Amino acid sequence: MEKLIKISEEYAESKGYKLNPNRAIVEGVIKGLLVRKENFGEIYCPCRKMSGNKEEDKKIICPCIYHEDEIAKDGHCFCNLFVK
Amino acid sequence: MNILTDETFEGSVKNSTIPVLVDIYTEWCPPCKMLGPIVEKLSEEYAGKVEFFKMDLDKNPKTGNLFEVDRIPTVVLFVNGEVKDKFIGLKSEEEIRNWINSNI
Repeated sequence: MEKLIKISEEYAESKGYKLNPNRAIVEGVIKGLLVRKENFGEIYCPCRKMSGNKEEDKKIICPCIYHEDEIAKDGHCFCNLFVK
Repeated sequence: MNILTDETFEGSVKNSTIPVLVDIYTEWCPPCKMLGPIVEKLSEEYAGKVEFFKMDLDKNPKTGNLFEVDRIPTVVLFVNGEVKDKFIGLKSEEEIRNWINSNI
């Protein structure tokens, strides 16, 4: 878990974002990502439905294709991992 | 709160004589975990007026597909067996109460 938190943190910094200051939320999302990796092979966002189509589901591998627009609009990604 | 599955959806939701609220979640979705206790509390407040269910989307993809659920949590309100309205993401207790009241 710590390794993925570190990777996510580095990604956030590189984009000018931060991880959610609420550690419980960060750990919850990271745990969800790891469970989905174990069950489905990739770190698919735990807040989005998987279609079962690998090509289609690439869109929701964290960081998903939607997060930049969501952060710009709402100040955080839908799953609350990345914040402005 | 009662658990809903692909198998029990038809009987529980379609045939209910009162409005039905379904909280669609997954086990490891943080906003779902935050919304859960709020919906649970409201289920007690609306006992006898609205029937509340929760459904794990990862375990019940068929029903999720039926209502084009792409993000979770998604909360769907059924009246007379049909979708009256739905919302996506975390909302406050007051917002959900107002949403229910305006739809039943």
